[in-house]
Amino acid sequence: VVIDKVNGGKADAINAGISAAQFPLVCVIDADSLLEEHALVRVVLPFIEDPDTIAAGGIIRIANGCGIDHGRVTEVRLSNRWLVRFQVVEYLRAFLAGRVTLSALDALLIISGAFGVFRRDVLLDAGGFSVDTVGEDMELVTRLHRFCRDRGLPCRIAFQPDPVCWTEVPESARMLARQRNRWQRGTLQVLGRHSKMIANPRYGRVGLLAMPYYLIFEALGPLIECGGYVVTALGLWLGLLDWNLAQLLFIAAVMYGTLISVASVLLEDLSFRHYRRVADFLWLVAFATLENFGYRQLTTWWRVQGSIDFLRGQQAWGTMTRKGFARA
Amino acid sequence: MTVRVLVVDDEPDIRLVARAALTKVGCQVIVAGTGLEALARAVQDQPDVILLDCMLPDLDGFDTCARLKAEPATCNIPVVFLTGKTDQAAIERGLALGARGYISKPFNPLTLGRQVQEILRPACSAPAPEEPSL
Repeated sequence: VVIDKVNGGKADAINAGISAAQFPLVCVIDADSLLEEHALVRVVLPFIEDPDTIAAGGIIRIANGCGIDHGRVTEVRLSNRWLVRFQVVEYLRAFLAGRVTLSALDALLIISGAFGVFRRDVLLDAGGFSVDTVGEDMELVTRLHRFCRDRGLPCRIAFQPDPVCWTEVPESARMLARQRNRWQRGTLQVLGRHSKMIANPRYGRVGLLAMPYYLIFEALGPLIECGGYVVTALGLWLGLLDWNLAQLLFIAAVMYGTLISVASVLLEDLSFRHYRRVADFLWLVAFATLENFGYRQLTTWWRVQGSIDFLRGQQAWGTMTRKGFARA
Repeated sequence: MTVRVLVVDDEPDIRLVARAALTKVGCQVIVAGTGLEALARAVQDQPDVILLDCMLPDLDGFDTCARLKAEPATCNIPVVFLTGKTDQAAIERGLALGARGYISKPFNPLTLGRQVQEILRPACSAPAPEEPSL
C-alpha cells in the first residue's frame, strides 16, 4: 500500500501509516535508516515474552563510514571524520548505558524515532504521534506511559540492544547544531507538556525517576554546565577560586565521563563487536576521552541555544541535509 | 514437568520466535537448522515433541520424519509439522509418515504453545485455557 498525501510533517505521515496498517504491530523506521538482518524479529521478541509490552525499540548505530551495498551494511568501519567519531561514542553511551538501564528499570522515556515497534491498538487509543512537537518520539512514549497509568492499563516499554538500525548522522557542525537544538527543544516541550508526571508517584518509576532525571540532566543540565563554566571563569578572574580544588573537581568530572564512555565502548566490543578493526576500537577509546575537551562544550552550547529558542517559541524542525548512503 | 521441544527450521528468525514463544509457556527449547542435525539432536536430547519444517537444506521434512519414525530411539517422539507447505497432499503425506499434526506458517507466537498442546492432547482431555492475543 502506498499512501499519497499532502506533506503534513513526519508525525502526520506516520499517523497515516498507522491508520492504514492492518496488523497488530506497527514498525516505524526513518527513511534514511537501514535495518540489519533479523532486526525486525529481534525487536518484536519483547511482545512475545511479555504480553504487557506495548512498545519496543532497537539500537541506533552510525552508518557514516560503513560499507553499504544494496541497502545493507556490508562492512562496519569508523568514519574518518572527527565529528562522526564523537557521535559514535555518544550513541554507544546513550543506548548501551542509558537506555539499557532505563529499560531494566521500566522507566524508558524514548524509543528512537528511527526504529521502533508499537502495538497499533494502543497507538490508536492514545491518539498516535503528536503533530505539534519537534520531539515526537519522546512525546509519544511519555504519553503512552501517562495514558496507560491513568487508565490502569499494563505498560511495558522495552529496549532491545541487539536489533540494529543503521542511520546517517550529521557530518557538519552546522547540521549537528540544528539537530541538537531541535532535540533540546523537543525535550523541553515534552517535559512541559507532561509536567504533571514529574515527581508524581502515580506514574511510578517514570514519574519518580525518569522524568526528574530528564528534567535535571537533559533539560537543565546544559544551563547548569554553562553556568558552571561562567562561574569558574569569573572565580578565576576575581581570584576567588581554590585552584587545587578546582583542578581535582575537573579531573574527577572528566574521568567519570570518560569512564562511562569507555565502559560503553568496551561493552560494545565484548557483546556485539561490530567494529572489528583494532584501530577503530582504539580510536573510539581515544574519542571517549577527547570528547570532554571541546566537543562536549560545543554540544552543551547548542543545547543552551535550543533552550533559548524554546523559550522564544521556535517550533521549526530546521532543514537537515543528508549525504546519503554510498555503495561499498 | 518441563516439556522439551525440538524446533527444526533452517530460518534463524523462525527458530528465534519459536524459542521465545515456547519458552514463555514453560517449555525447554532445543533447535536444529537441518534435517540431519535434527536426527542427531533427537537421539541425543530425546525431546518430548519435535516441531519440524518441511523445507530443509539437506533432508527435507518428510524424509526427516520418516527417518525419525524408523529409528527405535526416536520413533515414539511426536512430530508436528510447522510449515508453510500446507496443501492437502503435503498434509496427507506428513500424517501418513506418522506426524501428529500440522501448524501452518505464518504462526501466531502467542498461541503456538497452545496449538502444540492441543495437537498432543489425548482426544478426551479438556480444552486448554485461552492465551492472550495481540
